[in-house]
Amino acid sequence: MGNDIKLTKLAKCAGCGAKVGAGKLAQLLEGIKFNYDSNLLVGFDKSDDASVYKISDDLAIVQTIDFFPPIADDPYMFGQIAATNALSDIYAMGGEPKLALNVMCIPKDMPDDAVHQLLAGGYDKIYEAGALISGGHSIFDDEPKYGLSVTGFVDPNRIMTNSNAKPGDMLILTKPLGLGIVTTAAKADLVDKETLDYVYKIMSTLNKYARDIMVKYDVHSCTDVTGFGLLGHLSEMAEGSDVHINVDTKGLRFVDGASDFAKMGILPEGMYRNREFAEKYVDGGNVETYLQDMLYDPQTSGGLLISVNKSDYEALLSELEGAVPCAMVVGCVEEYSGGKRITLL
Amino acid sequence: MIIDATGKVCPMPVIMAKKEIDNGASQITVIVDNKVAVENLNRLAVDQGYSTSVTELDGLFHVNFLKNSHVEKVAKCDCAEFSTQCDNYSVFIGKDYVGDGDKTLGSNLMAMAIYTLSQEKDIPETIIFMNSGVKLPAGDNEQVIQSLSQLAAKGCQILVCGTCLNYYSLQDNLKIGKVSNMYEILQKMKDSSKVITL
Repeated sequence: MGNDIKLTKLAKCAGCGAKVGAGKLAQLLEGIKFNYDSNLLVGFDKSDDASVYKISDDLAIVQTIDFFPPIADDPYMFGQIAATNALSDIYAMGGEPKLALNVMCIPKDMPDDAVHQLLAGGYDKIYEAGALISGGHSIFDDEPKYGLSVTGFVDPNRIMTNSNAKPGDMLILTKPLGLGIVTTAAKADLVDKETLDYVYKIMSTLNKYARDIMVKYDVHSCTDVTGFGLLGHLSEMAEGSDVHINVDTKGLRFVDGASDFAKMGILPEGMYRNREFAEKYVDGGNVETYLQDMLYDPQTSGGLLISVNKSDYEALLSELEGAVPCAMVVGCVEEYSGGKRITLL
Repeated sequence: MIIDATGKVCPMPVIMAKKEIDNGASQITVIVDNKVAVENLNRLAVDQGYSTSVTELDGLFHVNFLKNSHVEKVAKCDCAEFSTQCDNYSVFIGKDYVGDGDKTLGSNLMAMAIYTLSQEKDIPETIIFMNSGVKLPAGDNEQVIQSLSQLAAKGCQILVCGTCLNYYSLQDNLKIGKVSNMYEILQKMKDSSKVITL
């Protein structure tokens, strides 16, 4: 039976923790020439969540791909989380998913029922999103991996990039943090079932619900918090928007137990990669090491990080409450006047 | 206690070390093969009240955990009358020989003094190495290293002046002890009921 195998034991890295670091990627791409045409509205240069290509004055396609090794032992749950995560980039651009293709790697000895459950998880989430799966590609590999390439639609005049935050904006996040740390601890069986089920529920909650509310307000910029961790994604937003961001660390919310694990040094490898990349942008002030570590923790299928006009933030926050796993204020956006891009308060 | 955690993926090295900490080990060496594990173990040490020193050997990292004994001893010293049990003393070693005269005799005497301390029932709370004294924990005299290891295993904290290690280019040779600074060393001396200088 599919439920008898522990999928995460087959994977070296958990979920988005397996991502190649942003710094490493830039280095790998150095010297390669990028071609453009004027309809490519969002491409490589902005290190954004998804690519956007304009088809007409009121229609553009958004395209993205995401896949990773097992983050949950149960194949059906893993399928759901992978699909939720793949869809997230479309929502982060303010778009709506339409079409998806499976990307799957499976070991030859993985039981058929487990593979079936994995795919069922993917299909269920794509259908919940209102999109279709129209095919895919599968290969044999020692380690299982699953994800999807997703295409969506967006109004080219309402694209939410990660590089348009404005001084005066408030920053809101729609899921709690600490997901990478807790799933790392789970690999050593340190997490109780209740907490782990809660974490899985968060990771398999579509950002559709946050997106559908967000588009009703004066939102300037948006990204989803995933592999680069909160501070990695905030760095990209601050640098890309040429602004300074204050992070209110006391207002942040984490999954139960995450801070205890962080203090004990139960931290995924991706945390250190994120720290290495983003630390140069961050003034840590007097914030304790374990708390800073938690802000570099790679998130799998994390929430939307929304930069909203201050006049709208209270209304947005109250509408999000109850509709998303956790609506919290992360910080505020200011004019940049030199020095570090991000200050932890 | 030596834990071989080579080939283990995080968080296993931390879990393995935590198990020994929970068993009450005062000195643990964890051998790991990657820097992430070293960083995670350093964080565990701080959280659990241990100090660490790291040595790199043939691509492997030896992370040495040493229980910070100070806090517990001070708590025990919460007694009204001063007794010998409460006598937390430190030893300051500012050179690599004892006394003035023949240098060979002087260094033999130092090795003997450290050995004798290690055999005492009432071991020092802290041994501090400064100036050429740092050549002892970062040197090749096996008897000295062995005696210091025994002292550390019994809960004695070994502090080694980092500036001095750098001055003698010995920072990579430290076999045992925690790299320390003037602030911590002076604080330790002030907190000790007496300091013996060798």
